[in-house]
Amino acid sequence: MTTAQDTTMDLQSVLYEFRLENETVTPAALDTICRAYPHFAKDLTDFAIQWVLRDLALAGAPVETPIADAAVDAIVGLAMSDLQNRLYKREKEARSPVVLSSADEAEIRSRFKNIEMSPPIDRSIAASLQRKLVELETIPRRFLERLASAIKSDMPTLVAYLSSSSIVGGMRNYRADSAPQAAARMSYQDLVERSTLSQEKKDDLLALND
Amino acid sequence: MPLLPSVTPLKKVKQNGQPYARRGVIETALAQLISLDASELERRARVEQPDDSDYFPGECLIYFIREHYAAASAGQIVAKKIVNALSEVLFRRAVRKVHASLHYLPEQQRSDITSECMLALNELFFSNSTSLDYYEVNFNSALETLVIDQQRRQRNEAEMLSADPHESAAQEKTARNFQSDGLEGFVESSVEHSLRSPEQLLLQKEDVAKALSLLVFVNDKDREAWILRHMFDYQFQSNDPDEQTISKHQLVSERTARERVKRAEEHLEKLRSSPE
Repeated sequence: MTTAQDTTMDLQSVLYEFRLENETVTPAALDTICRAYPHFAKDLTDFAIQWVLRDLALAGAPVETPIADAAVDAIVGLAMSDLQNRLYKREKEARSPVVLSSADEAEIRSRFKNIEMSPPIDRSIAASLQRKLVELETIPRRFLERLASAIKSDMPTLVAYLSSSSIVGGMRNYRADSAPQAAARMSYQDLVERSTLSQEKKDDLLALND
Repeated sequence: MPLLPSVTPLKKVKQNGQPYARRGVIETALAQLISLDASELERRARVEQPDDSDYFPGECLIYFIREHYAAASAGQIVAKKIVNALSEVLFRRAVRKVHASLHYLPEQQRSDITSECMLALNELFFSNSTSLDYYEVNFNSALETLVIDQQRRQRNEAEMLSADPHESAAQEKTARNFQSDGLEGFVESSVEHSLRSPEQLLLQKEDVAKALSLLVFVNDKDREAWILRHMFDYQFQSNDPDEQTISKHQLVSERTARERVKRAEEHLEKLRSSPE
């Protein structure tokens, strides 16, 4: 884990911040946070309504006896099973990394042309992904899953492609004064922010972090 | 042998640019706990009494699971053992907390939301989400955020299904089962803290109290409009494009927004004046 600060504010982060910074919903706090994150205003208002309704219900309902141990065991069992499945999946992926041949790479590269996926991406995003100019660890898993499906591939193959050396733009210039260097990679958020998509479409892509 | 070299700082920053920080008591606990070996860490995590000096706060459980998750998913045996043991303790505590906080709901719904919240926690670890920082700042508040958000999502889904008459009937039945005893505490704090300018409101303090207790009987959209107007001070419409309004939130005209609030007020008035 690095210590670099994380300034990305996806919906989930905004909701946590709203709750952690306020003991109760106040019109002023709600107005402030909606103005700070206007693209999440509807979700924030919905969250505030749910918060108020929950407080109301909690104050009104009689306290009852705690949950039975058997019921706790059942839910914990489900959660532990989910945890094991996720660890196993990750372990399996780590143990058998996909190695792509140059022909495989070329094939995948070609599939980024005229790519269609939901939420939609523009040519600049597609080109940056095709040239592997995005930091893999910053890309939301949900985006990767949709991208893998859009290029008719699978997750391990896509991850192997995106994590291999980026495509160097200056390679064609055989008379360059210095040796070609891999281009710096950008974060997923920068990739989306720099695109030509409308703010609404950018928000849809950033919301995949939730 | 210590498993971790030092306590990793948090990454998340507040809206004003200030970094989030753990509470002093958590930092102190972590500084001591990182020097423990795996078996001692597990033993401490299993201490159930919060007043026991060996008790492991939820914030610390989150920290250690995060720190060892990557190694565990790479197959490292010690890390896996720690993640498994600490996760089970975490889930047990979180299940009890979440389930207890939903005691006003029918049992099936409580269990469903509790399970969903546990799976959402798993997803945060799996995706190495920096949102886990919030759990290290205040475990209970972060968990409550998760629960409210889960309920918000369910409410949105239910709205999409609201055309289903069986669903509407079930909601009405739940509303009618609602108990309004012990409401005063909530109302006191709502009126004291939630209303920016109570003198501007149409309702007096005691009216708000009664209205809140009756709100469960009002149609969802009308109730929402009433809360927006009387608790969040939302206007029906505004010339300020950045201001949230009832019509903007509900995607309706100003007239419809006014009608909804008026209908809720009339409905409340009828309920108030009708015998128990």
